[in-house]
Amino acid sequence: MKSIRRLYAPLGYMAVIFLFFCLSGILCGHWTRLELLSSYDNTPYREESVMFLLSAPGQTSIDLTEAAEDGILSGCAVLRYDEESYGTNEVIYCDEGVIGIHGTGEIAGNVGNVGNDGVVGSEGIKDIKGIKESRDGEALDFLSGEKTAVAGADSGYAPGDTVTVDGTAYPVAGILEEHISIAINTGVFYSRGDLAHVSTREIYVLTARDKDRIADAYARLEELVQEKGAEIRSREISKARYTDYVDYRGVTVFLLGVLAVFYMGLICLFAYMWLRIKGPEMHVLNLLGYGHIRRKVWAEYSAVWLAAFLLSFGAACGLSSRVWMRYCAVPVFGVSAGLLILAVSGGYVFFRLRIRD
Amino acid sequence: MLTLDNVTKRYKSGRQEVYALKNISLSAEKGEFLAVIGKSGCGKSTLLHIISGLAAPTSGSLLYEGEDITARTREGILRFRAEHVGIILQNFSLLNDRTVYANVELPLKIRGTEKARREKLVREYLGRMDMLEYAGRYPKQLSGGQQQRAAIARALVCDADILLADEPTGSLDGENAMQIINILRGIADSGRTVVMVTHDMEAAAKCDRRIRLDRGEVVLK
Repeated sequence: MKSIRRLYAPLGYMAVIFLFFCLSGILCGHWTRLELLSSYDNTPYREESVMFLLSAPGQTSIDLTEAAEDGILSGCAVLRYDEESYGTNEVIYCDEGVIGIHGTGEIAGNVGNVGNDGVVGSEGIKDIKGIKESRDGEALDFLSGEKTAVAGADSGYAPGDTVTVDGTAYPVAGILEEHISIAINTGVFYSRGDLAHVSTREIYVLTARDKDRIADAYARLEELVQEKGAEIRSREISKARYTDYVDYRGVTVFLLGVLAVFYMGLICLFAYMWLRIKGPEMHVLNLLGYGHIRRKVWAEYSAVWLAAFLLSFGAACGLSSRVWMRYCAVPVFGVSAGLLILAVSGGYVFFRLRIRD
Repeated sequence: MLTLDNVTKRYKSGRQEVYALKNISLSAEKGEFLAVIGKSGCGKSTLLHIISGLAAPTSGSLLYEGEDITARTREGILRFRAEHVGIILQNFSLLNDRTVYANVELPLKIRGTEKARREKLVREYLGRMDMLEYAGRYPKQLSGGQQQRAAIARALVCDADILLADEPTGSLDGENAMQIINILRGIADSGRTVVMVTHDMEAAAKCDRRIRLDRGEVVLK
């Protein structure tokens, strides 16, 4: 019991640090929108996927909708991520057409999903149950500008229901078929009907349930884009850079600034509390002629930080389904912040102990 | 024998130099109970700090058994303190998250004394201080006098030759204070050197010798 009592403070600190790191991880993920792919919570996207960029001359547009309907994406899905002046879009294409668009900006939005505005367009009538049943033969065309909503299979909406977003009512035109993506299954997508501008500054992720399908689809896509005078540049996810997705100049500076304030505050608080707890012990041990007290306390202090950091790192990685956070945000920010904390707080404690001696 | 030879301790306060101790020379024999008295700020505690090696003199030497302790390295001074000096303070300086037993055991643990011998010594010294029955209690559960007795047990458990007491009765009532002074008297009588800083003239009267400090200088021996 005695030794457990003495563990209260370090355990308490570790809990605080642990939570803080986890929170930081979540904030990193949120602010940097690194949930790009992992919002689509499905195994194939994570384990079997190819990321590529399209390098197209001028305003050449690669119509993946058309490509999808032509069977080029057979057995596969492509997630397209692009940035526009109004925000970002994430579009999923599969061999049945466009099945989901999810993004930010003014043009549209979705509700009930991960909280981002977004839009869905569907030209593949086959995957919309409601339309098939109630509007036999009638295609849903978001490009026409009609205010319409389509709900995911698990969204709780039925055809004919009305989704109200920001005071605007969108009649639910249909229900999407059960899909591997939770985001699509639980989302309600609506359109304000402005999909005229499609960027060629896009990032694509090609995914399927097995690598052979990906390879086949990739080859067909490559052929298609070459016909259009464009070029596919394949990217390995593990080698993707943070700056491929984030405006690092603005976001990173802001993020680092906020994190720095948090971390520095935490360092000061932790060092103060640690010294307060350890102060009497250091004083007594010094009176008793224990010469290694500084090193001992420093080592303890570092060990607690390191343990907290490793635990938090592991937990943040383990708890997070965010693929890109695992590969990018947590290592970058976690390691740098951990080193910063160790250096500053360790130095602070050492300095304080020198004075006390 | 413990000797201070022409010890001066000088601090810088802004541009001014302040003398905490000025050319102090004194010695204390084994078994001697020495009182250092004087007003607040006269340098009494600084004197104890120099004897214990907690502070280094600006000039002069601290000699123990003829060896110049001030010439030692920092590690050497720490070793001198660990091996020869026991310190008790007005606020007892016990660790509140450890029992009395664990507090007294601490210096032995640091020294690496084996467990059976630790237990024997801790019980012996707690017994000498009439504190055995409180061994399992925490300092906050004890009276001031009991805490001071535990602190004395801790100071002596490593068989220190020198016991330095900085206002040991400062926060005790008359009865407890006299009990502590009697204990210190007994410790001196057992052959150890006891140097006590105090305001309490009644306590000082129990000592073999009194030294009065004023502004860092010895004004009366």
